[in-house]
Amino acid sequence: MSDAILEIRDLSISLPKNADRKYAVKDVNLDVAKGEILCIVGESGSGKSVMTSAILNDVPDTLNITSGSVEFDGQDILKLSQIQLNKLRGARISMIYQEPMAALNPSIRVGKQVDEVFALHRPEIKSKDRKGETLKLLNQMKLPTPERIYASYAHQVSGGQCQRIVIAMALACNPDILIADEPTTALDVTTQAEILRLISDLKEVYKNTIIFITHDFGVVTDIADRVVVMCQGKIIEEGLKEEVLMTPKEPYTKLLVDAMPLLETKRTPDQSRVDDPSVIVNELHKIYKTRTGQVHALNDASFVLRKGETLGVVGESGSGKSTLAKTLIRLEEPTSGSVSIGQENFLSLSGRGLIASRKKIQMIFQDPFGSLNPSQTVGFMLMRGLELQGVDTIEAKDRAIELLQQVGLGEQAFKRKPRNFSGGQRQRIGIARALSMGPDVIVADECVSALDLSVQKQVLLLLNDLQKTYQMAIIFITHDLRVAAQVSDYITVMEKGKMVEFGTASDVFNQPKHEYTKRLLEAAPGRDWHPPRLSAEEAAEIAKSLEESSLEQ
Amino acid sequence: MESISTFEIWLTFFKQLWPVWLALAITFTAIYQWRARLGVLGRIFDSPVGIVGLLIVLFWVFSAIFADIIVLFDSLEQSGLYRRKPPGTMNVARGIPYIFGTDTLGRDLFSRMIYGSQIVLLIAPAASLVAYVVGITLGLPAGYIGGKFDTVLSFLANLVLAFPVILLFYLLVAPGIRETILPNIMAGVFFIFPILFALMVVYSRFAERLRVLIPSSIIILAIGAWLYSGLVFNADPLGIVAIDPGELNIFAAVVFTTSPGVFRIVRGLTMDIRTRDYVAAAVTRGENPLFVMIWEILPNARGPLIVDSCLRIGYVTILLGTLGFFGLGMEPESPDWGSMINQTRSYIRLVPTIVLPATLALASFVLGLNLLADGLREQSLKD
Repeated sequence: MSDAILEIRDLSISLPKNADRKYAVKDVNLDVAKGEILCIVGESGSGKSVMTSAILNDVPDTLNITSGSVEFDGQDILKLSQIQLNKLRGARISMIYQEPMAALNPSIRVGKQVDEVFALHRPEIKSKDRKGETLKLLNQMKLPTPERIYASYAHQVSGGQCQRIVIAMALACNPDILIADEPTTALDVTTQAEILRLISDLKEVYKNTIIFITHDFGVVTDIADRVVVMCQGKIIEEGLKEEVLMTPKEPYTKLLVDAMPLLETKRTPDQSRVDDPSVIVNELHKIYKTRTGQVHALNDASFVLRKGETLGVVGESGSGKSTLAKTLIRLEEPTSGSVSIGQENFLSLSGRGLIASRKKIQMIFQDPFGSLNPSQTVGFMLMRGLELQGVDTIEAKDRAIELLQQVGLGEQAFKRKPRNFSGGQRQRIGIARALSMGPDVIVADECVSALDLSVQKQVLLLLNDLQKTYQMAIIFITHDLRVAAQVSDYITVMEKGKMVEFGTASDVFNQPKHEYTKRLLEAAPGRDWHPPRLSAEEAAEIAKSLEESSLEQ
Repeated sequence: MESISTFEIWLTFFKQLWPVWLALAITFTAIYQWRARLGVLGRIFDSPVGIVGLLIVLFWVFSAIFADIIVLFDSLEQSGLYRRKPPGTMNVARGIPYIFGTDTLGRDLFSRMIYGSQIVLLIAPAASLVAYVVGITLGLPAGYIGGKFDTVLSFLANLVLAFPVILLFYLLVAPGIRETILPNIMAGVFFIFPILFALMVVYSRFAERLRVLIPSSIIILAIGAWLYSGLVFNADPLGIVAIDPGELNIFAAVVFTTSPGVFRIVRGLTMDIRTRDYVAAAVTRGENPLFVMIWEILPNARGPLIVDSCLRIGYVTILLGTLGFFGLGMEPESPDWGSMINQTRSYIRLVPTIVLPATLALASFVLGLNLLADGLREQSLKD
């Protein structure tokens, strides 16, 4: 490619010797064309972040660049001295990070931090003019009241505003290349949409080249010109956005695209059912008292759910969906309202009665790494719940093994501790643990949001199958509309503690009533993209052949 | 006066310590062999600092165990002829050298140093252990339940920690106090905690299974009562468990000053771990609070606690040295390191090496513990 601004040649970066594979990045060749937006897509551990860190010659200390070159502007970045690198970084190639809060120094006013970039890389701007330049830049980032933001500290502005400030810092010197490492992953959907639009708009002004790292195909659809798919440290497929997204060639890409949940509902509840509901929630309120006043975290939540039905609870951070989960399972006491499980008023229970009834409502947690006790074996976790209900040891062990098989983890998992399992496997253990209590209701709080797409799909399928077997009612809390669409019979949308919309999944998706629901639907990344589907047999076949080829290596 | 050369001094030193070298070699080979199964202790081989620490600590452990084989003289054996002699002086009548010299009563400094390790290695770890049990038993509920219980206990802990330790010891270990019932009352209170803790462990695990709960509780109570009668009242019906009243006094005083520190660490760790999802999972499963504290929280606090226990044994060693130095609690004749330093310090100008054995012994043991703690911390962070 003649107009390439950056050329990566034969780049290999080795991992420490006890890692699960030898190279973080292996023999990568990549050209980045001037002025394009290149998206690097891959699941966690695919080496996408490590590869881009080499572009700034900023590879973590534990890793080693064993071969290759990164040509930029006629020089090999990997061979530059520290002084030359400092001139390059921030000025000609700059970076936006995933956690905007962590990228800003909490003890310096954010405006001063932008000033700093000018002081460092643009000496032609006199110190008295810097503030003016910074304000101009903040204004360009569409930040409201730039003067106020200039004088604020990082914790005083919202996550989206923080990310705008970080982008301002990155663009302060009008760099040739802007590297964005998952810049919107930590943000809410609506904020993400705004930031993505901002990045595209700014590109029209600044004409820089953007390398955009993400795991989300939705984001790719919205922003990319060209796409690179990485897996296991290698580039699997490379091409224009339309080609890769609509007609992927490589089997791995096909699977990845296939794992992307559709923005279409799958389930329609039988609304004429008259059997007794599994759970009735009535006018649930939770008010937190703070020093400055009170926060109405949960405002009048009410719903009814029957056996085998799933309610998707959708909302952004701070909408009260986690408070709903915690009050339902009584990790926190609601301020008022009632929760009935079966015939029993769950909220009026206390002492031994509460302990005995807790088994009826169980939770699947978000963080697969924090939700399993690292010092217990999987067998202990599963057997403990059964033993509490008076099942004797031998029977409990049989049941535990049966559960492990049902969640797709064979008997050998019984004696192992959580650290031996991957995120997806841990989440399966978490599901088995919840099921071991034989619950009528399961609260799943963002239980797939920490997982890679392909794993997420499997876990959702598993949950679906188990629901058919055990007929429990599921309250499925998620920020991801696509996931909610896959699993829900009913959907409720929460905003600022209130359930602003409630209806069957298809009604909410196709005829949203509330403004906020419409905004959420519009902001969903990649909503105009209809990813090609594989049939179940095809998918299984590809997965099998991929597994075989990875075994051969 | 006949004496041996420096080289011969060290030769004798290394020769006398042969059981220690042998034991060290065996232990290290064993640890290295089974390192995969030993968890954090096995991974100590990845940390040079940790290896050195472990070496020093084990050196003193084995010195204490094999003291009777190692020493050249009895710890109390005096000699009017050989007073305040420099290292290497030969006891002509016995044909044995005083390799580290003698003190002002003509007692062998090397032998006393080795015997001194027995006192330290008995009291320091045991007192730390009891302090740990007290701290854990109170710190877990304080951190987990919080509220008034926590407020009161934290206040008391801060009160003890705010008091100058030396002054506290002058109050608690003074000869006048030892004749009163106070040390026994203190020991009586502290020794209840291990029994209580063991009962809590068993109850929390087997609350639903009476067939296991009842017999194990009876066994714990029986063993507990036996040890308790021997240690607190010095009235063991079997006549096996006994403790010197002076040592009991020191023991109680050390536990009293150490346990508030442990309490605060355990409380802090509990408040942190309490917020993890697996604790929430246990609560929603319907576990009683005791189970959550002992089986869900405590095992995950073990990393920092193991590291801290190494440091704490070091503090207690220094504390014992201080006590000995001030002549508090210990018998005047006792070969503990603190007393040795005090008894020899006036003669530094006469024989400059006279304070070195006890001082270096004390310093090296504490240094070893600190290095070991550093190594363990490094390795436990990798979990």
